[in-house]
Amino acid sequence: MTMSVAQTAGEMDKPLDTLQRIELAEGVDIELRPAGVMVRACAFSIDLGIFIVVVILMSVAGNLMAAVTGEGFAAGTMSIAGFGVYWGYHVFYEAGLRGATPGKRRMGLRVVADGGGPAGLGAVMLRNVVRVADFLPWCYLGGLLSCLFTRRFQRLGDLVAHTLVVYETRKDVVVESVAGMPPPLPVEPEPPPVTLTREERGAVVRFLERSGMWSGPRRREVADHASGLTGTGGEEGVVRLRAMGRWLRDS
Amino acid sequence: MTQQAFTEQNRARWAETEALAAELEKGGKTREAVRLPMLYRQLCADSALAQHRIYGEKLCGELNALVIRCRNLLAREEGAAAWRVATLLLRDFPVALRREWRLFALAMLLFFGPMAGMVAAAKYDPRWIFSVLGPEEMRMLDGMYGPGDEKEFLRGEFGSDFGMFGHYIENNVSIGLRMAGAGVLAMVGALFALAYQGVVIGAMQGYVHYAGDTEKFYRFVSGHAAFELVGIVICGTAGLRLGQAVLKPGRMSRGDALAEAGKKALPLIYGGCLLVFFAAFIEGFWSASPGPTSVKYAVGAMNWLLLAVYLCGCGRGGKEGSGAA
Repeated sequence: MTMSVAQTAGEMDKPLDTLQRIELAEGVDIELRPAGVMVRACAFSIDLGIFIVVVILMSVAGNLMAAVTGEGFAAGTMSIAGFGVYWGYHVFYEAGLRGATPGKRRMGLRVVADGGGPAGLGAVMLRNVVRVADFLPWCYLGGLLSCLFTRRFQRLGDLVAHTLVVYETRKDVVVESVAGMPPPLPVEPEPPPVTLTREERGAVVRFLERSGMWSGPRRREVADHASGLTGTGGEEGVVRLRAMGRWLRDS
Repeated sequence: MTQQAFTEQNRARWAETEALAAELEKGGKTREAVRLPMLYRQLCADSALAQHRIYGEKLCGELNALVIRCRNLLAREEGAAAWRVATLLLRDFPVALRREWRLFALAMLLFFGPMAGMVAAAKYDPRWIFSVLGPEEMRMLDGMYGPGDEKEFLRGEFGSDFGMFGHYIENNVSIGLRMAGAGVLAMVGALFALAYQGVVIGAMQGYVHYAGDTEKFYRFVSGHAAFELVGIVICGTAGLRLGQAVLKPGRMSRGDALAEAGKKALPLIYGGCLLVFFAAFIEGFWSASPGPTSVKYAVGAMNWLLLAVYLCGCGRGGKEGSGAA
């Protein structure tokens, strides 16, 4: 028997999170977790840093080369190399086996086609050519707006190329507490009294992961929505829900 | 079956799959790779079972991640690069361009219209040209194409042919790529860039007509003009195609229209850039070389003809393919 944590059927139709479920021809569903703006900005900053270092190294190498081969040849080589790095850096790495630039890899991200498979060279090329438009009018404002207004956080380049940036691996992040918020009581894993659906299990585990970030009253307020499951309310409800979350997450 | 029993039963196989995937992801070549499809199918079955039986988040999550990894390994595009380049050049690019001939015509007009206007200004009102170029640029053009003075502008001061070749690639192909990308903003980026390039290039040409030695100028530009100018215009066309999806998505949602436009524009981007790239070759190694003016002009005319024949004729009659994406 299953039981609904959500109050009404209507609420169940709305996704509780940003997970994208895709059914493969192999008869199995996979879940993609699109990455938000912040983590992508971090990845880009890392790539930018690498890019700057490479450009500096190249100009040093260019000056050394000019002494050996003469100005003209060195200048030509540097122009071509600069062109290659500027336009090719992202394309090379994203079309590669890992589907991620070093910065994206560091942040655990990956570029995929929106069906979940690897993005081909053509798609990667497109998303990086359109980067120009995402950058406009200033400092990726266009891309930011596009990410905020699309369900799967796609910038314009992603829309054109049908690609997504997703988390490659899901990290377990339980925020135990943040400064200024009382830490929640420690709990022992405890199985839920009834079988839950996937969405419900997900919701309970998310509660475990995030409740440490909230104030006590907020925690109780959210946990009270699941009083049908915990059979109680208030602080005790929070404890029981977190206990179930621990059991569900670790099994 | 309990989750524990299920895990016990299959753990060894999952570990094997994981190890194989890790090895292949590192680019390793192993005979074991032939086992991947089978292991993948079994893994899919396991994952579907685990999801159906609502096993724990952790187990389902791990299986999900492993399914995606294996799928990426199996689905990746491999090899046949030469074949794909040939298909692109001999069929997909010219076919794609002819399919977008309206946008191409618009792009040509936007580019060559202002250019012709600026050249005409040399005769009627050169102030237009002065205001576009500014004193710096005019002094440079005087140095390069000024009358008399046989010392050529060409390569002595800038370095060798190869140096200029690199510069042309960097500068011109970048212009093309930016034009294509910026077009997605409801065409505005491409429209502006096309007209802007037309005005600037036309102003330089016009200035040479007004104050310089036109033979010197046309000797230099005739060889690569066809590929460079048309290549840039084709990049602009790709940008217009992307922008069209935003302005006029037809019966699709804008998201779908954009993705469709991406597929249509991709061969144009490749082709346009390759033309500009090729032009850089000519510009670097042929255009500035000495030789009778008549030969230079003849080669230039032939290049226009070749390009026209290639773009109009290539890839006709064949079936339209999926494209060299």
